[in-house]
Amino acid sequence: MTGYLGTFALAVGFLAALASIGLWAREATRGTSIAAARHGACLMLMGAAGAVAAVEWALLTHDFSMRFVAENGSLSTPLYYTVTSLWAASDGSLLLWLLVLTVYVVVVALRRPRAAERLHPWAMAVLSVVAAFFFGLVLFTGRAFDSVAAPAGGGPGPNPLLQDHPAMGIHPPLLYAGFLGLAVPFAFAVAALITGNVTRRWLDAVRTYTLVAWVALTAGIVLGAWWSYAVLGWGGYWAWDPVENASLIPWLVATALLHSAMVQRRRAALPAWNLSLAVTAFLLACLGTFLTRSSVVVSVHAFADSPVGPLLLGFVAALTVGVAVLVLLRTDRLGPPRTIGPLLSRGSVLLVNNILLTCLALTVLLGTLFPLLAELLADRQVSVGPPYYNRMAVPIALVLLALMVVGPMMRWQGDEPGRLLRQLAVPVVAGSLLVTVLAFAGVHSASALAAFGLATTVATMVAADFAAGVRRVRVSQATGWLRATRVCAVRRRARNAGLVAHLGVAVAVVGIAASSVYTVSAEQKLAVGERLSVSGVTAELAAVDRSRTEQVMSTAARIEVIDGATRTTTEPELRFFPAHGMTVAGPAVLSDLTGDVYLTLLSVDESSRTATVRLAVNPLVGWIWAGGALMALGGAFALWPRRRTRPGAVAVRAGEPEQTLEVVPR
Amino acid sequence: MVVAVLVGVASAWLVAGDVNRPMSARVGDVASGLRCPTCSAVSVSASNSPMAQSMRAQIRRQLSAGRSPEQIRAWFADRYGGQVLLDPEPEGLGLVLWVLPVAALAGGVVAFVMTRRRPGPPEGGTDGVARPAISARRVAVAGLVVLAVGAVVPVALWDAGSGEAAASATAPAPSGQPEMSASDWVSVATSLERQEAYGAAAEAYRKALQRRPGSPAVRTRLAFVLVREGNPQQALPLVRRLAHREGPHRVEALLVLGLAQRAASMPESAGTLRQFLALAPDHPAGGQIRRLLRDDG
Amino acid sequence: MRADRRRRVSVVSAVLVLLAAFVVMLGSGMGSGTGVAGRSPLVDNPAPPLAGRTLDGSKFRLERLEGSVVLVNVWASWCGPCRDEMPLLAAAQQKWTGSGLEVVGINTRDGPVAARALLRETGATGVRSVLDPDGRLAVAWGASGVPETFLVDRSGIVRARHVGPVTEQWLRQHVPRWLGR
Repeated sequence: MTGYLGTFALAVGFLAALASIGLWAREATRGTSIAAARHGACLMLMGAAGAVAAVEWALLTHDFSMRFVAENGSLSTPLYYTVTSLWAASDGSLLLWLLVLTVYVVVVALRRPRAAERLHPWAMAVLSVVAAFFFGLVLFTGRAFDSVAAPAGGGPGPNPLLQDHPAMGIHPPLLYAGFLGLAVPFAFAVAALITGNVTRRWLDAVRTYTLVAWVALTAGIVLGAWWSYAVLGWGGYWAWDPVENASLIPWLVATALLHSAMVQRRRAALPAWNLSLAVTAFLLACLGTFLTRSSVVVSVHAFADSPVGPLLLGFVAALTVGVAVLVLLRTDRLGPPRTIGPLLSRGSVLLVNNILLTCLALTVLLGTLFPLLAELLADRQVSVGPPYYNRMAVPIALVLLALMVVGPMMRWQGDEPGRLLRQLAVPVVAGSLLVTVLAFAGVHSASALAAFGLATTVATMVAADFAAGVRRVRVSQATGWLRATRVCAVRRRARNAGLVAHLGVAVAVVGIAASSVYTVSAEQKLAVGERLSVSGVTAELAAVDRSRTEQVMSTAARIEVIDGATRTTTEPELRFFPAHGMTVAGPAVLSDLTGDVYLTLLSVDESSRTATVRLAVNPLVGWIWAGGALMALGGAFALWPRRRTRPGAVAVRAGEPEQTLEVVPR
Repeated sequence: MVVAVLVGVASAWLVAGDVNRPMSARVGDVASGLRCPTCSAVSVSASNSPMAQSMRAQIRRQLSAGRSPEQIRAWFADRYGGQVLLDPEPEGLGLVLWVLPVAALAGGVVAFVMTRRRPGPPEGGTDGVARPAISARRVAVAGLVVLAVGAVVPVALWDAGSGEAAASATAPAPSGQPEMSASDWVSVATSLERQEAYGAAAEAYRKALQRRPGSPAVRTRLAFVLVREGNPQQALPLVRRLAHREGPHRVEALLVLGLAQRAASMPESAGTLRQFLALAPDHPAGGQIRRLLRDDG
Repeated sequence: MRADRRRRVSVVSAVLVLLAAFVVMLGSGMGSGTGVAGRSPLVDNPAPPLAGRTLDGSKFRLERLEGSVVLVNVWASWCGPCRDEMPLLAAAQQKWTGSGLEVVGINTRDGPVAARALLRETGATGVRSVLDPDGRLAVAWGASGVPETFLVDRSGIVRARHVGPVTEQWLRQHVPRWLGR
C-alpha cells in the first residue's frame, strides 16, 4: 500500500514537472504571470515529499514487503540510522535528491527577483526540465517501491559504514543541497542565453544561489572529511578518491564564480565568463553524480551499479549540447566587452584567481578520468592518486593564498605599488617572521613552511584590514572603539564575509599542511601490559574486550594513553557486522588544539592475547574543521540580507561604469 | 620589509639543509604512492586491510635495507603491475596528466594577457558601442587550441615512444595480441624454449630480432635454439662475428658458436670451445663443455 | 558578421566533438570498474622465491619442487572464503599427486594455532603451508588479496593466477594442462 502511494506521488510530481515546463515557457513568451505555474512547483515538492515520506514510513514501520526496506532496513538498526537509511542506497538517495531539488524549485518559483521578469520564467522552465528528468529517472528506473516477499527477520540494514557515525544524517543532504543549488545559477544562465539579458539582477540571482550552494558544499565537504577521519581508521581526511573529487570540482568552479561575479558587479566585465562558470558548475555536479552512480570509477563511496548511470550521462550530454547550441545562437547578445581594470587592480587579481581555480578543477577532473582514458586509448590500467594531486594542487593552492593577501587590499580602479607595499608590510613581515622562527625550530619542509608563512600573512592581513576599517570609522564618526567595531561589522558586511572565509582558508591550510607533513605514527603488536611510544605519547595495552549484540561483534582494545602527566583510557574497536561480512574500524581520537592522538586497533590475536595497534599523533587536525566552519560561516554572512537600498542610490557610486548591461535583442 | 623577507627565506634555506624524516614518515611517503590492491581507490597508507599492512611491512623492510623509494616502487610494479603506482610516470600517455594542466595554465595566462592588451573603454566612460573583440570567444578559441595541443602532442609522443616503453616493460603481452615488443617476443620464446618447442622458439626470437635488429643477446639465444633444433648451419652466421669481437656477449657467442660447429661436425669446434673455457672458466656450462671435449678427444 | 558566425559554428562543433569523445569514454568505462587485480605481471615469468618454516615446523624451499607443478595458495584463517576453498585444494592434491602436483599454502598474517585449526576442520591437514606472519611472502608474490592462487609449472614459471577462492572449474582448466607437459 505504502509503495503504491509512493509511486503515485512520484507520478504526480513527474506530471507536475512536465506541465510546469509548458506553463513557465508560456509565461515567458507571453509575458503575463500564470498562477498555475507556481502551483505546479508546489505540486512537484509535494510529489517528492510524498515519495520520501512513503519510504520513511515503510522504514520506520519495518514494512519489509517494500523492496527498499527489505534491502536496506533492519529491525535492529537504531532510529536515527533507520531514518537516514533513505540515502544509504542509490534508489532512496535519488528520492532525497528530488526532495532537495524541488525545494529549490519552489523557493525560486515563489521568490521572484525584482526587475528580472524576463529571466525568471525561463529559468523556471529550465529548472522544471531538470526536475522532470529526475522525476522520470526515479519513476521509471527506481525499484524502491516494488513489493517483494518480506524476508523473515527483516533485512540486513544499511551498509555498516553508513550506520556508524552521526554525520550520515547531515553530510549527504548538505552535499545534495550544494549540488542542486548549482542548478539555479545554471537555469538562470540558460535563461540569460535565451533572453540575451545579463543584467545586474541576473547576477544577483546567480550570486545568491551560488552562495547558498557554496556554503552547503563547503560544509558538506568538510563534514565528509571529518567523517572519514573519524571512521575509516587511518587518520586521513581526504584521499583524492574519485567521488570526493566529484564534489571538489564543482566546489572549485563555484568558488571561481563567486569571485568573478564581483568583477561583473563592479566593472560589468566578464559576463560571458560568469555565464560559462554557472553552466559548468552544475554540469560538473551532474557529472560527479554520474561517476558516483555508475561503476565507471572505483571508489569507496560509490553506489552499486544501476541503470541510472547511462541515463545521467545522456542527460549531462544533452544539457551540454543544448547550452552549446544556445551559445552558438546567442553569445553576440551578451553585450560589449569591458575591461577588468588596470594590471594592478582587484579585477586583475580576481581574474588570475579564476584562471588558477579553473586550472585546478581541470587538473582534478583530468586525474579522476585519466584511468578511463588510459584504458580506452592504450588498454593500460593506470591509477592516479594522492601523489599526483598533491604535486599539482599544492603549488596552485600556495599561489592562491598569496593572491588572498594582495587581492582584498587592491582597489578596483588601480593601485600604485607604493601604497600596496605599505599595506603589505605588516602581514608580510609577520609571515616571514613565523617562517624564520619555524625554520630554526626544526620545520624543514619547504611546502609546509610556505603554507604556514602565507597563512599567517593572510590572517594578519585580515586582522589589519578590519582594524583599519574600525579606525577609519572611529575617526570619521568620532566614536569609541566598541561602537566603531559594531558599525564596521555591519556596514562592511560583504567585505567582512569574504575576509572571514579567507581566514577560514588560512586556518584550514595550516591544519592540512601540519597534519600531512608532520603526522608521526607507528604500528606494533602489543601484549597486555606492553607499550608503544610515538613523539612523546605512550600507549599501553590494558586489556582486550569482546562483546556482541544482535548486529555487531565488537573487539575493543583498552589502551591507556599517557601524554605527559595526563592519563586517559581509550577503547579503539574493530566492529564486525555479520549480516554484511564487513569490519569497520572504530578509532579512538583524543583531540586538543595542538593536534590529535589517533589510535586504531588493527587486529587481535585471540590465542596469544595480543593486539596490533596503530598509534598516530596528527598535529593541528582540528584546525581543518575550524577553518572549514569559518569558511561556511563567511559564506553565510555574505548571504545575510542587506538593508534595502533606496532606488537610485546604487547609481551614485562615483567613478564606476554603469552597472547594468541590458541589450535589446535584435 | 624586503630585508625581513630575505632574512627569513635565507635562514629557512640554511636550516632546511638536512632532512631527516623518521622511518614511519618515510614508509608513509612510499605507501601513499601505492594503491592498496584489496581496497577500492585507496592508497596503501590509507588502508588497514591486512594486505596493506603487509605491504607497509615490506616497504619498511626494504627501506631499512637501504633501498631507495624508486627501487621499492619498481619492485611493487613488477609484482602488481603498473596500476599499483598512484603516480603515473610522466611518459607515454601519462604525459597528458602533466602537459594538459600546464597547457591550461599557459592558456589562462595568454587569455589574461589578451584581455589586458585589449583597449578598453575609458575609465568611468559609459559608451555603449559594441567592440569587435569579444573576450569569451577568444578565450574559448584559445582554450580549445590549448586543449587540442595538450591532447595531440602527448599522444603523438606516446605513439613514437611506445616501442621503447614496451621494450623496457617486463610483462609480456598475451600472445595473439597485435602489438608485441621485442621483449614480449623474447619472453614468449624463453617459455617456448623451456617447453622444448625449439622451432616455435626460434620463430619467436626471429620476431624479437626484427623488432630489435642486431641485439647480440637475442642473436645468441636464437643461434642456441637453432643448434638445439638441429639447424647449426643457420646458427653459424648469427654468432660468428660476435664470437670474434671483444664485448660482453663474446663468451656466450663463443659457446654457441662452438656448439654449432660441433653439431655441424666442423673441426674448429674444439678450438672455439677451449677458447670459451679459457675466457670463462666458471661459466655454469663449463663442466658440461669439459666433459664434451673429453668425450670427443 | 558572417565570418564571426562561421567561427562560432566551428568553436561549438569542436566542443560537441570533444563532448562526444568524452561521452564515448565514460560510456565505455561504465560497468568495467578497473581494479588492481587485472592480469598479473608474474604470469609467464619465473616464480618469486618462496622459502621458510612450514606450519609443521619443517623447512621449505620452492626450488626443491622443480619438476612438479605447484599450486601456491595464499590463505589465512581469518578469511572466510579460504575456509570454503581449502577442501577443494586438498582434493586437488589427492587427485593429482601421482601426476606430479604439489599444493603449497602461504599462511599470511595468521597465527599457527588458528591456521592449524582451520586445516583440521576442513580436512586439509595434508596441505603444506609456509608461515608468513608479516605478509612478506604474499606481497612478494603480488597477491592482491586473500585467497589467491598461483600455478607454477614444472620449470618454475608462474603460469596462471586466480583471485578469490579457487573453483573446481579453474583447477580442471589449468592443472591437467600443465601436468600434461
